[in-house]
Amino acid sequence: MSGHAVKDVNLNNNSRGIWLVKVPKFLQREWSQYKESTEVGRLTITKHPQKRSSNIAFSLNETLESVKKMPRQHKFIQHDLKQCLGVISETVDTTPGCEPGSTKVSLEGKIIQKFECQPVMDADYVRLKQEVMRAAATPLRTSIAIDRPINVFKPISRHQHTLEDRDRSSNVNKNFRADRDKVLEMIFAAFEKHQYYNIKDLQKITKQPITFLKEILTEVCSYNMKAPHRNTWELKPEYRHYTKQEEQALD
Amino acid sequence: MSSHINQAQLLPKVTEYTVRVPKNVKKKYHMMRFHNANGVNFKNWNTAKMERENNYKEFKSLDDDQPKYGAGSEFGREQRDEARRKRYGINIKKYKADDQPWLLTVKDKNSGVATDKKFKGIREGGVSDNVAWYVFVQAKDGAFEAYPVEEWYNFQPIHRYKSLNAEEAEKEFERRDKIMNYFSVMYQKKRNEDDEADAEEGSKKKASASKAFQLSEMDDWMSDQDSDDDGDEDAEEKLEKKPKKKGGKPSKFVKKHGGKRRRREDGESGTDCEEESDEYDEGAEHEYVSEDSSDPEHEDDEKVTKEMAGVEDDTAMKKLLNSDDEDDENEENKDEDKEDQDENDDEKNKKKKDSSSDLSDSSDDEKPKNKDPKKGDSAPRNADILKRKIAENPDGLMPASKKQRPEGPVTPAPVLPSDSGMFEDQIRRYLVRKPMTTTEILQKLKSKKTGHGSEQLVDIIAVMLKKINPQKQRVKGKMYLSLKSLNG
Repeated sequence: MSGHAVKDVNLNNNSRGIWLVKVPKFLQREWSQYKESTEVGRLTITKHPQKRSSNIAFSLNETLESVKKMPRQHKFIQHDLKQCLGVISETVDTTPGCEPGSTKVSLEGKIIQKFECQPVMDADYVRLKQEVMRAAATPLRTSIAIDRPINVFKPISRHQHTLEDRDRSSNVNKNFRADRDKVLEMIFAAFEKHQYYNIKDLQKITKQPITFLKEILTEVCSYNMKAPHRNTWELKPEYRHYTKQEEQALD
Repeated sequence: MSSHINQAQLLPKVTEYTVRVPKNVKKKYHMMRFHNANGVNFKNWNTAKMERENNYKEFKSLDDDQPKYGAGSEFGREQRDEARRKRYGINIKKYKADDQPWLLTVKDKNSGVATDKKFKGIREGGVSDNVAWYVFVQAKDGAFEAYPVEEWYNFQPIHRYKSLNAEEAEKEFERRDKIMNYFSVMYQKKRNEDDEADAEEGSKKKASASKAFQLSEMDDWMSDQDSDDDGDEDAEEKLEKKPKKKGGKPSKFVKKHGGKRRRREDGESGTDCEEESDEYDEGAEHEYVSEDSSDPEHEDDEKVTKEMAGVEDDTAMKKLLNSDDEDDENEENKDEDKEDQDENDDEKNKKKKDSSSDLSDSSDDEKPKNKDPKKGDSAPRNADILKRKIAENPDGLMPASKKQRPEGPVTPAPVLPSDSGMFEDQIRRYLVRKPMTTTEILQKLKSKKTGHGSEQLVDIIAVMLKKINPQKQRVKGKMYLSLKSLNG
């Protein structure tokens, strides 16, 4: 139950302000590809002296190879926050002596502003959208022409290995009546482990013919015909090694 | 890009930041969402503890709680269940602690030790379906670092109070009803007082008021029949089941059922209230309906009850024909009186009414009359005619009727319709088949829908009976008419 341990939250950064930015999926795809820390772009914040709000633009780093096909210019649109949003981080605990997979939790800060990163409608963006549409329009399954017919085998009901199996089982599965006391001993030993047994299982355990087994079972066992342990045999109360209360408690 | 540069040249304040995407596999960022009303301020947090809610027990109990060995265990059960699951393609998900909701306990700096705030954060799906969310954190060198947000958790305060379980809620709900009941008890009490006052003073006024919305003489007659059997349990039940209909025309009803209704309220008011509490249409608002309300809906309802009571026409006529029944009735009433102290008053009222109605019988018809259930005025009028006509029969075995009224202007002269031959044939047929009372004949002919009103029918039957001159037998105080068949 390592996952349920109580963790102290690191509150060192509780007064830090953080931006929450909504980013289009193609940017996320791009950004999650990078193997190491990368500079992905530049934020330009333009403050008008007259107005209260400021313009924020975001341009992708053009030195990166994969960015060339993407719309590079983006604008940040500000949305008002309607809820109280906090950011927590979970870090895998690597300190020696703690359980593998356990994490440390720390509060990273409070969201102070919420932005939507929106690409500017330019030729690059239109091209991207066209590609997306084209990709969506292509069917997932396509037909392929084959040059020669594929071999299909006719089904057989009797395979060689099943025949062998049957021969073996017909020889082995001949059950002979053993000594009655021995069978009883085996039955009691079995019923010490579990309370309920199906007759097929008992037959496998004792290796007795089913009629003979049934004879013995009707003497020492009773047959359950009702729901929770249907079609099973259990020992009659006088043969049991556990008391009734115990059984009920376990039930 | 160029426009940007231009803008930047024009405007004084332009700052540029680089944005980095750091790669840290071990650190994952999540969002915590609080409602504004919860008043969460991270700066005030002194200590905070988080843990995953432990739902393992619930998960396990869903799976199974059977013992693996010993008493109660079944051999090979797990394998069999596994095989069964495989056969049906059921995949059981494993329990993951990291998928469970967060439990957050916060101690504020300002408040004391005792006031921990507790929140439960449930993971939300669908937030990042079509967009990606990043948090931009300013690093020490001034550049922004963008981290992807993995999960969103919606944190809600955990209630400190205990909520009611189903049974407790049920109990409380019942109590809510009971409060209503106290009100209705008081209300009933008040109404009873009002009723008594009304019965003494305003009975005459009410009578005229009720008269105003009676459609015809027939209405009066039938509704009287409706109310006429005091001892009848069915009628009582019917009335109780239709409190709305009762309320629809309160003045008329109360007057007609005068004695009976009040007795019910007085004597059994306790049980009454309890009964009514189960239904929402209990008699609370009915009384506010004005007395002269001629609401079409209620009018319809009244008609329905009348139609349902139509069978009782027969009994009414019977009573009037064999007037000694009345005495029995009175005796019955007296028996009830012994049980009910309050009914004594009613009985007195009834007697008063009896006498008054007797008086009115002999006097002019249009005078406002008491509508005692047994001795409605217009009701006996029809029957009286029939009775008298039979009495005029030379062979009539009927005792002379108690009260014979002089021929009023209301009673129409017996006009035989053109299809009287048909009537004669039918009556003959009925009488040949089995002995019948006059009321039964009337009933039969009524059901034929001949197009005549029952008043007319009574006349026709009287004339026909005179013409046919059947044999008469008295069985159990009722006169049966019969005819020998022509063949036999």
